Amino acid sequence: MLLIRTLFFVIITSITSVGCGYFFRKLLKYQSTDILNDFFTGLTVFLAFFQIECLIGIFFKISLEALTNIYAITIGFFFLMGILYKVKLKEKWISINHNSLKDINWGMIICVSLLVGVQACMIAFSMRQNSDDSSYIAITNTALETNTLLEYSHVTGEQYTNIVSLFKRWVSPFNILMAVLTKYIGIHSTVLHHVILPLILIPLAYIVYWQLGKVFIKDKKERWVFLLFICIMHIFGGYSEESVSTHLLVRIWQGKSIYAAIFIPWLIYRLICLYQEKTKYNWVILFISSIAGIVLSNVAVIENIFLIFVFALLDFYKNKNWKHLIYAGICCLPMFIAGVTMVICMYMMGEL
Amino acid sequence: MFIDIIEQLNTAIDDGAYWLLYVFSLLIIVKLNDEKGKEYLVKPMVLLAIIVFNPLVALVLDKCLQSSYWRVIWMLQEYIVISYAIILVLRKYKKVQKIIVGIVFSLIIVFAGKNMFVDNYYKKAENIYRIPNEIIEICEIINNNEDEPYVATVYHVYIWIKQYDPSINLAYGKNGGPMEIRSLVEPSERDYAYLHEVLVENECNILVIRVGEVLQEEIEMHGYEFIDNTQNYVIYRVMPNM
Repeated sequence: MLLIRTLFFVIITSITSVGCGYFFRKLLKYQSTDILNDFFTGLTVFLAFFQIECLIGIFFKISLEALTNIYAITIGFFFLMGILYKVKLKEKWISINHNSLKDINWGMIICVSLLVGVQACMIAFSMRQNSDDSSYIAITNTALETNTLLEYSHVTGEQYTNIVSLFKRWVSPFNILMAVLTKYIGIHSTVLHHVILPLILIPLAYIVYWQLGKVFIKDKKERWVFLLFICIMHIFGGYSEESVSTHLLVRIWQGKSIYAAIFIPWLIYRLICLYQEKTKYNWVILFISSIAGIVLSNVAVIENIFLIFVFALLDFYKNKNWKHLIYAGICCLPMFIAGVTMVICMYMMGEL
Repeated sequence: MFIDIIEQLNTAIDDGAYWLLYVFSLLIIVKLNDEKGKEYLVKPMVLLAIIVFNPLVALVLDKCLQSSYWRVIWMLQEYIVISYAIILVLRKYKKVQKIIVGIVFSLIIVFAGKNMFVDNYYKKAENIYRIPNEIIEICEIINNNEDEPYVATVYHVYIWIKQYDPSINLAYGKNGGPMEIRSLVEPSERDYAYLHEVLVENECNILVIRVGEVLQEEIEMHGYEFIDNTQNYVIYRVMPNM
């Protein structure tokens, strides 16, 4: 039953994400046949809209049930728009590039898939003690138990009186997103975190690395070797508790780990795409990605700015185009707003 | 302040072998004059490193990241840079040589890093929740004996309880609850009479401690009632003052 629910969830998420990504690509008139790009764009849009809806929900004290329904409507809306665009433009539902099937290197695919599978299974089928879970999973469970959004303490169960003190939680409401997903799948949230998410997120991380590899490596065989070396590096990346590999292979269900292992490579991929082509689509997706990153972790408020700033600076040095610098600044706006909000909250809490 | 930042980085990079490979990889990409690598990896990563490792920026970042400055290394993407540099080197070789050089690089990575799967990170799963069975047992004992449990307990129990049963409220956790109860419950030697006063004052009705920390007769004299015990923990009801 657990397997069926998980498969159903993965299939629905994949289809809706691709549909949403396709809708944005067509809306912004961008030419591409990359289904993985549509998939990740869709996921990014979903994350960004969750941030907006959840923040409004927290301040208006709506129930978790209501947020779950509103979010489902949002996902459904973007998916439906994707379908409508597909029908309107009379495009094929599935197009297979037969040339791409010719140069498949089965040996490498099996080798990398096995390594990725071993990593995912090692986490999903073992037990790890991580004290951060006592906060993160507890917040999700408390939201589910009380049917509220950050209204009750995940420790004592008392009702919060001062929303300002929770600024870290509502600036990055990843744990509420997990509560919403738990409601969709209909399983215990601890099982979702500890078993289901590693099985989904670890392969997802490698798909992002594959996307990033596309920028540098044209030959598919070489790209598989590239993935193979990343696999080896992650498996032997336990040199520190704080390495990206440790976050990927020990606690990938936490927002900050998803940010470190999956979102940063995705953001770098988006920045490189933008560096290559200054299209409206790339700017809009970068802006949406900026909001999406903040859902995962407060760290995004700082690190997204640095990454965008570095690429913007290099582009300015190369092209001397002020307009691009201003657009990059606009893409940093979500982080500035979140950052200023956090500083004000810290000041009000006497933490500054 | 700077010493603290350097210590954070030291802990985050450990012996630095991976990061030495990272620097070599950047140099290899430059040396092999790979345009894409230089444009999309070397330039951004070097500029990023110059900015974030600048002492003044580091001070501000440490403040902003609330003493988690080490997280800046996440941006440097060591595994992408090193893997790409290896691909560039492999391009220089033909079939068999390519495999041999690939194996040599794999061995370098293996010896420079630490295997995740042989460390203490993973334990055998005891149930579908991936939490210890004993915690589930404790939660069931508490729920069977108290309608509205408010529990004071030690670290190895409180970090798990809310992951299994959010209806059990805790007197304190990793981030929250009164410090006074924590300071009284955490040490293995406790003043049970004073602890009882504080627990009653804070409306705690359950105390979970390790087995063998106190004699049952002794603790029951101070207003606690034995409920049950598991292999490693014993559960007491905190009796209200008469």
